[in-house]
Amino acid sequence: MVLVSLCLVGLAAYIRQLYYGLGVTAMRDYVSWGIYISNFVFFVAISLVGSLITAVLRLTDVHWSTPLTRIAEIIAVSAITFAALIIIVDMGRPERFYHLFMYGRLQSPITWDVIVISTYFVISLLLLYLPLLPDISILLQHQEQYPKWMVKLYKGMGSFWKNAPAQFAIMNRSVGILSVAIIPVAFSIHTVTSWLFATTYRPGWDSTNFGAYFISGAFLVGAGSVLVAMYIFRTHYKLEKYITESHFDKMGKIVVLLALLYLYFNINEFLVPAFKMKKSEEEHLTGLFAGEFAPIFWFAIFTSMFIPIFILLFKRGRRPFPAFIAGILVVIGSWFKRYLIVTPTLLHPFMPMHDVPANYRVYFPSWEEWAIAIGSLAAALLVITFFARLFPIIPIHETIEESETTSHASL
Amino acid sequence: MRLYNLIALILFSSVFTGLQAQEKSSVTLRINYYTHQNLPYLVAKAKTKINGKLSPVPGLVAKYYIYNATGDTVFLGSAAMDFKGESLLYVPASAQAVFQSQASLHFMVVTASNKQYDEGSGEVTVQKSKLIIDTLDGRKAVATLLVKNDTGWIPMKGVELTLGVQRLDGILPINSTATASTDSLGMVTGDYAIENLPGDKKGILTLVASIKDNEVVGSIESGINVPWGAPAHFITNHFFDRTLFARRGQSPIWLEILAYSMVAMVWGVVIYLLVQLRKIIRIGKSAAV
Repeated sequence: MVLVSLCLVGLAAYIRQLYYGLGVTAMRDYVSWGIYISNFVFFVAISLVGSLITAVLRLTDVHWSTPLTRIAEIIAVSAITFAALIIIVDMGRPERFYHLFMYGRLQSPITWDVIVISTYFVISLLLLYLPLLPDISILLQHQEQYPKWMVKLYKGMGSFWKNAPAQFAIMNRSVGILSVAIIPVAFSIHTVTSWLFATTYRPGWDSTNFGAYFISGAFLVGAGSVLVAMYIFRTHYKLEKYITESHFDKMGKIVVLLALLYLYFNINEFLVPAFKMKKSEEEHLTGLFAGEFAPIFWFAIFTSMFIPIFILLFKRGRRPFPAFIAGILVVIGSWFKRYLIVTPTLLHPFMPMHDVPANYRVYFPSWEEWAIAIGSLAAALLVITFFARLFPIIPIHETIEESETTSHASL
Repeated sequence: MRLYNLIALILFSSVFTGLQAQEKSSVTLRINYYTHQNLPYLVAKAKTKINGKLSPVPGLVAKYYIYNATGDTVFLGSAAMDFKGESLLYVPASAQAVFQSQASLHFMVVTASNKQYDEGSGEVTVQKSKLIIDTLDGRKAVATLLVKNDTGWIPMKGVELTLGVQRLDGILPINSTATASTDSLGMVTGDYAIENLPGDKKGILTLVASIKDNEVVGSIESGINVPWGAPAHFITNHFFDRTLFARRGQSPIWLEILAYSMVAMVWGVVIYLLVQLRKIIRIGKSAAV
């Protein structure tokens, strides 16, 4: 109900924005990318977790992550859907969205982003759907437990799955191909998103480090979100048997590794320009380290990296509840980190702001922006919640197969 | 039910926040008269005191009037104030009869009262004038200021006038003493002393005479083209080239090959997988039969 209410308030705010135009936001000539774009970068980042858990771990023959693959995939699909939608919100005139396809310049990273996001969406959807087919077949075997409309949905989606060996062979091969294909596309999606900034000559964005910096941050927030989702699904659906303490322990270690990696890229990103302190960068960096953005900056650094590392470094910290807290910190800190990537740079242009109204010099999102941004986050969670209500959040068939293989191996 | 009430409360409070009653502020309205290349126009500026400081008032609609010979007002037009609290109106053709019939022009601007501000008004009276700029032998500029009285056009003495060259963001004086007062013939002359100032392709510059905020004639600017500059050499036009910074459809061939082949490869895989899905469906259907 809370999520639905937040979505409705967001929808009301969006209707107001459609009616009155982007003037209802606090975005003006200088800060033309506000929290909508921060939210977009955040969603794109979170969506990368699908490729990490499903593809990278699958291809490296890591089997313990099997029960987590569906959680990761639905997070990826939901996040990438709302990444695309929030861009339409940011455009202000949704009916002109097709202009991106009709009149896009191939030289523009924005066009590349449109291509890569739609490709990643389709691949993630396939990676979610194909392994779901055997599970839909299991659900249909117990169709008397479900209402008619759910049975109709299951039949529509997978009544053709007959557990035939030929079907399994094709599905396994297809999932293998998808796992390989999704990695370059996932890297592209976040690299291209970073290029939206890095190909623009501005203080804070003029960096060759941006692609790797964004990808490492994306893996971190994605892994953090999986920790959160694991805990919620485990406690809510009583899945202690499938999502075990060992999963939290291993995911915790992955989060520590990714947080250290992201910390390394952060040091690269800030130390090098801070060492040179070029005049144009000085104002931007001072604003982040000790100026008006310092409280958010240090909050983001500590909550997304230092505190989670500190919690998860210890074995006791990798137990479900502390790991869940660390995951929440990573997710919240990472959202603010995206805000800091977008806004402070826009407030520090190379040419001094001259002869502009006072509200052009500052940016604090309007209530409509907050409502839409929070509404979109709530809607993404709502999609995940609906999915978990309709389909098994643990891949039943794969997990059974996995445990059978493990028990055979131990015999 | 309580949840719906909460949503309704949030929505309504947001809508009505902006409608709360506020104390009205007074508006100071100023109007100035300008002539550019003999085209007259009016500029109105609205300001109000905020925390003891005068700040521009954007958004107000200024209505402009001219007084005719009998002292009645004739409506010229209206224009909204921009973010600097300024609005501009060219004297329309419909007002030419009133405009031409008088030597002294008396204008008025008014803004209506609204929820935030009281009504405001401002007036300005100027003498109708002409500023003529020409060249003399050699590189010498001469400007003449004439004002209209009941008998005709007469020279006006003692008005500060600048001779310069029009550049992108202002006027560049033609020499170090380019600003001077008009003499008894209403004239100011000056030698053009700038070497190799870039003009257009043929070296054409616009020589300008300018009077700013004079109490009698307002602000006037007039110009003529002179071939006294150095021909400018423009960088080759890349508009039709295939470059990374070109327009749509003009991207470099290497980029098109690279991008389209990558898209084709990835979407080829996606299409292959969709075909595989179709195979799975077919196998399922045949197994069911």
